Amino acid sequence: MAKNITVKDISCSDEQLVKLNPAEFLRLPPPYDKLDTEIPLKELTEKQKDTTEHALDGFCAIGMPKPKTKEEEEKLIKQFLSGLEKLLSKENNWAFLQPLMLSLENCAKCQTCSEACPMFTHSGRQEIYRPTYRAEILRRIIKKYIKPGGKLFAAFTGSDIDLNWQTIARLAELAYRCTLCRRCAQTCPIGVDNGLITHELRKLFSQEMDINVPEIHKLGSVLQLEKGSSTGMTPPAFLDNVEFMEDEIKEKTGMDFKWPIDKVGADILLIHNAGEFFAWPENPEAFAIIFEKAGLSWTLSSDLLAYDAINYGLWYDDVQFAKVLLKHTEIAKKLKVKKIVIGECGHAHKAITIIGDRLLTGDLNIPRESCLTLLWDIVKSGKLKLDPSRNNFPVTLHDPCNVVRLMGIVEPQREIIRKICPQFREMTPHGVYNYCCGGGSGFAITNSRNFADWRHSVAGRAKLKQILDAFQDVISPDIPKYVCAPCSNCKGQIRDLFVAYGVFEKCNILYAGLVELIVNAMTDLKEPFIEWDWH
Amino acid sequence: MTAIQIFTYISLIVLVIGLVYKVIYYATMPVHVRWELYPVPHEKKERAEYGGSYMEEVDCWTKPKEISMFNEIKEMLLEILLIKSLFTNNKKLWNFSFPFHLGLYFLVAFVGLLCLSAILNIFNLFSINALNYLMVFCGAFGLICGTIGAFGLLVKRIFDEDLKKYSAPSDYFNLILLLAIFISGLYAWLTIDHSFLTARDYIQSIFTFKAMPVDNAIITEIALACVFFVYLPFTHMTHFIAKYFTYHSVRWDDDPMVKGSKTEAKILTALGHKVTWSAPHIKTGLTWGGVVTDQKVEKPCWIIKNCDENTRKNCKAFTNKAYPCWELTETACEKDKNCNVCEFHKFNCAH
Repeated sequence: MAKNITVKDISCSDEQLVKLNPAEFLRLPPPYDKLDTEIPLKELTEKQKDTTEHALDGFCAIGMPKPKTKEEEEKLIKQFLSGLEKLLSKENNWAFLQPLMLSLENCAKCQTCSEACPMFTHSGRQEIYRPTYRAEILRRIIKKYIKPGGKLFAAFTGSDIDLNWQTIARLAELAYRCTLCRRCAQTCPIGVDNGLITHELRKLFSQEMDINVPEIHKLGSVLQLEKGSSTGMTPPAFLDNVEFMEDEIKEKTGMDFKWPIDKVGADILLIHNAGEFFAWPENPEAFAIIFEKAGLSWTLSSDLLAYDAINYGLWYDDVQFAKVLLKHTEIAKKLKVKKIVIGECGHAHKAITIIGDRLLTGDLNIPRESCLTLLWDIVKSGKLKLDPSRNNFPVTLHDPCNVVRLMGIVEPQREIIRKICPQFREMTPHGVYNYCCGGGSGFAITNSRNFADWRHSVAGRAKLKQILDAFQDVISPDIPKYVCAPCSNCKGQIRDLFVAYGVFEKCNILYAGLVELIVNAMTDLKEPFIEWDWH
Repeated sequence: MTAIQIFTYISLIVLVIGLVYKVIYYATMPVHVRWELYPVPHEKKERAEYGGSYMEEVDCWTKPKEISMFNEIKEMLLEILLIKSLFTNNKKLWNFSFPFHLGLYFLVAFVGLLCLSAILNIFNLFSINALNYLMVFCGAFGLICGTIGAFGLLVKRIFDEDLKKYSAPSDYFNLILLLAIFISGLYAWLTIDHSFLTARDYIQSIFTFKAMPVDNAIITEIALACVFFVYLPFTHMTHFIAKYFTYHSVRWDDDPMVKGSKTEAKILTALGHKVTWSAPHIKTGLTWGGVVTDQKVEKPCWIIKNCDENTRKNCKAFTNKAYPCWELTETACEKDKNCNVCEFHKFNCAH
């Protein structure tokens, strides 16, 4: 059994609060039901341990340096408290204040949400991953250090946390042990949202103390605002890529057409996650084929930022979020399009349609739409000639949290798949009650030190289990199978999971998006669009 | 006037002020970004069931939004009366939480009936037997349910490891206080006030400001209830107020932004708040509008535009520094009326 950890232990002086043991994790279905099929968890090297904070569970998403002197420690504690005050103030956090205060002040500690959290249940119920664990730490710190008279009533309200550097360092890492999937919030009888508290904690650390994950901040949103894309892709590189993809379509299908770029007055500005151009070019290619065949008036943009839909600020920093949001919409305004359509990228969906919605005032309030909605409209219209027998292999569908639970786009993708995939089967649970892929909130791109091991064996465990369960009747590698994941981030995570566990070799499961399935079913194509030897 | 009556008045005043304050506190918080969570029950029927949204429809902004108030109210009633989400997600706790809350509902109804009966009695209007029976039923049933629920919740909180680990002394105190109220109420009912007419008369004395000496058992019951009234507004037990906001203002708040709407006006005001976050990528001291548009100029417009002293004195942008120049009239630049070509506006205005 896992060590008996209490909330108060967050401030203890132990070098490492928890050591994970794969034997405690929830078992996976065959062929991964034996302990020896688990991936080994790498420990930090001695040198890394000396210089980097790892006092939570021995894993590092952030990789904070350890403070060298007592003064430095005290300065960090002061910074944390000043950040916390800002987080609770109207001036600095009006955009989230009401939901935050409601969630901080009303938890009845009934633990109903714990069972909904895949990090908690699938890690063998590690106390530190419980949704209420980090939230309770923050609540107790606020009660003791921020509320007037807090220290007086501390014993009665159980606010027993000592605010030392250990607490802060562990809390910062702990803010990156939750993918913000908000499954916990769905189950709360009072409507408290512990996922939101994680989000707000990350903001406190980033906006006040400059503590964040390098892949998400420095190499993510900062790079995107400078170069145009977190992939480092500049506008000329983007145009090169488009040319390459045009050639590839011609080679594969014989269709020869130019992609519309920067076309002023087009109906639709389509924005992809730029990761697609590098990792999965067949996805934007499939979009181009479908849009052309359906005769839509559309365009891509080669403007800085407008060829990359990502907005990492959504996960950790309101300022970075709003900057990218404004750039995206300003370009749409410049191109005078009727609407922005977001490609298969979940967090970009939520960023620009939901969270950004109320921030877009006046002329920047340009309609924004999910590609899934539009694709179902196209498929429904009958403009494409589709033959489901071309997709006659077992298919299951992954629901990206940002598109489904957090935006309510549930059926369009299912309607399409039911129409074109005769062997479709659902995962359990699915739809708005799905499990996160484990790569959410920036995890899929976080690889430094040993974090990827945690992401594969803990964060992704629920999803891997669901995928294997969905295919148990056809699990033999002789039968090719397909996980449809209409989200770049989820695809990245599923790819890494499959590589870590050797799923392609052992079970012959391919992962890709939704548009690939649509194009694969098109009777206009002589050869199948999906390439099974690729993974 | 007896001491317990004076305490009753004080506690009622604290309770009312406390609860009204809580409602105002949550209701007047600044506008927030959308943070909805599906399923949202006011969506039309089948969508509400599978958790879909109006955004599943192509060009949804061109279509009228169909809202089913019936579904929303049905879901609210299921949540309030049966605590549906706890039943679905945590049946073991619901077994006690439900009778506990049911007991509280019946006791609230009981107090209402007591007040009604007291008023009828004051004006000597009429007395209905049915009302008395209903009073006894609500009171007794409420106390029994409450006792079972509170006792069960207390036992669970003491012995269930998951609950125990997160429970503070105040959590046990809350349950013990409520349990004491229920048990002393049961005791008073069973021993001296079988028809709750003494309780009714006490409420009447509160309405009419007349002194009324009461039995010790009843004093205990009233004193405990008054302690609870004073204490309640300072605890998370006001979650019955918060729950309205967590559901209506957050989880189910899927209202899209409309040009020229009140929400838009509120957002524009909020963008004027000063940002004091200290991380290096944030320009501390600017407004939100300035920070997110990457304001290049940190100097005010009259420096950038090199306005002379006379112009400054007569310009609202200089005299009324609380607002950005483009939102003011009577500015020196007003005659040009072309903010679009103004460098200062370009870098400083978010919209």
